[in-house]
Amino acid sequence: MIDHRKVKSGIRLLPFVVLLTVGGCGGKSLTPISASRQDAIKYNLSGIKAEARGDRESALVDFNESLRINSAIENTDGMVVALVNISRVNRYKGETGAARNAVDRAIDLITPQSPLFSEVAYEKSKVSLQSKDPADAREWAVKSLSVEKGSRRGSRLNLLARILYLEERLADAEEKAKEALALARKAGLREEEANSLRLLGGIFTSAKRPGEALEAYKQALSLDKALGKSRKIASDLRGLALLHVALNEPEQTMRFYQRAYAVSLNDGDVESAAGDLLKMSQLYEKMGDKAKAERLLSERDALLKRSEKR
Amino acid sequence: MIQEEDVRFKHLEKKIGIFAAVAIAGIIAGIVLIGADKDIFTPKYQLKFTAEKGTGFSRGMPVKLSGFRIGRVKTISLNQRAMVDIVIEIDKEYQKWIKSDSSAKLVKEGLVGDNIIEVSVGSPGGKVLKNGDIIPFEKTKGLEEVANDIADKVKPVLSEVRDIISYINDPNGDIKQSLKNVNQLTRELHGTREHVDALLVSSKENIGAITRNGTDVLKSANEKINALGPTLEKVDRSMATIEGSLPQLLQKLDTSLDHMEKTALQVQKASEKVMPRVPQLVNRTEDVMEDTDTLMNALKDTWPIKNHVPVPNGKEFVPSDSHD
Repeated sequence: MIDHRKVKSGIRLLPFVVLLTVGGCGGKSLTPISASRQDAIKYNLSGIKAEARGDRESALVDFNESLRINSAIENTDGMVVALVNISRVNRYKGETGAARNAVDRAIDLITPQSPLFSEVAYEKSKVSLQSKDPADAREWAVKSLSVEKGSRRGSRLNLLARILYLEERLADAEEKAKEALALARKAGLREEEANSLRLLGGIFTSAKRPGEALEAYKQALSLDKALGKSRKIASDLRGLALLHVALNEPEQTMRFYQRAYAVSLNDGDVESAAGDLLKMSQLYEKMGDKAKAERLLSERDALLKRSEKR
Repeated sequence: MIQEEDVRFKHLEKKIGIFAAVAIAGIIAGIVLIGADKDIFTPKYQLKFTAEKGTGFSRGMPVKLSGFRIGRVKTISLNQRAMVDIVIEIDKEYQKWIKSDSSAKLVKEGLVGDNIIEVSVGSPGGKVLKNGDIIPFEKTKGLEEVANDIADKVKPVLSEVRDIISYINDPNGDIKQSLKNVNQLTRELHGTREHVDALLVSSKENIGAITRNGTDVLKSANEKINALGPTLEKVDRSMATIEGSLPQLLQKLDTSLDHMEKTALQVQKASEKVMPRVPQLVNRTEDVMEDTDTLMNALKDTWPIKNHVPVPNGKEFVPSDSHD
């Protein structure tokens, strides 16, 4: 005899069974990736994590391993990514020669049509900037900008504006920085927005437009504080100090240098902190307070010695 | 008319003609032979050069190339600059070796030989010198000049030798003084020997006194050692006590070592049992890990999990902003 209750419950479950079956067959299927390629990706991600931890030696080991595996399977894109990352870590370490070698190898591997070209050109521009070759840096920044259509356009513009500012082409720099600011705001990239504002602060200071400079620095400082970027905060404070130098306000200058010093010291950026102490010492000397100037200099020496011991 | 004719004068004209012809032929042959010997008939050409002095040059002096005579000096004359122009005449057959980079120089054949002009062979690529061309003259040093050179070099040496000799001969100099001191020292050595003898005699007496003092010292040392007797007895007693308790201590140590040995043996046995299994265990662990990996990968590929698993991005860069 048929149990009608079981049949009814079976009919109720039928749509779910059909739905699950159809759903199981549907959905996007993952393109299979070879084990070697997976290993290369793993090493690349591991290197990025190591760099984020500040362990640059491990990061370089991982990126080199990723480069080796990608070379073994002739994965050009993977090789380019590894080389750019090797260049970047070396650049952060201050090893400009090694950075240039890596990024030049990456350039040899790709054409301007590659989707990776913008990032490679961006890195090359930064390496040239660190090598104090602004003309070459500008050329590569323009190349990077010309092929970048996505959200990273703001950062490329910011870099170009920064180079133009260093070349003292203030009007061009201002135009590019403002364009970058608009793009960063539109894309919601707050870090790049702060970079544009900080740069504009510098440009306005050089152009003797203190009111606008103060406003730009304040906005940049507020954003950097919200993002918790210590080095950028210290940069904003140093920019403000320089603005007050231009305004001939030594007390205000001193105040901002003191704040920048405190931020850098607590962030562990001894070199910048020592630089602030030197600036303050020079300022005291100008103000005629030689005792304080000497005290700050000896404090600076002690700080650098402590850092060397570590 | 009868003509008287001496037979000796018969054909006299003919005879005289033949005699004269032979004589003339002989003279001509002689001239030709001498001319050939003197290279009169050889085609020649002339080259010129200018020397500062005419010393050593003479007309007719030989010109040689690689030791062979190839010509002679034709003329020697003084020019407007008070220098000597010399023209040499060279056999044409040697012209091919005398080129623009050849040179002429005045040399002596051997140490006491005659002066000759030696012409060097030109390089294969050089241009052959023609009649009337100038050949460069290389100035060579004459015997006198060489002697002057040597004299110039020897002069300072002789001067130094003279200085050294006068230094040695100087009565107040170091060497004379040193010799004087050596003489004096030798004389004084006699006196020193006498002093040494006297010292040895007095030493004998002193040694007797020292021996007597040594005996006294030994005597007092003996007394001190005798006084040490009770102390040594005490040390002896202490050593006996230590000796008594030492076997017990050693026994305890022995027992401890026994225990340690047994424990080590047990550990070794346990290790021997476990160690062969370790590689197997490691292999199995690896297998389990691989299985887990496979399982995880399979799970990742299973719906609906696969929709939530991020696709690994092989193009991720280290973050970098425009102001780093």
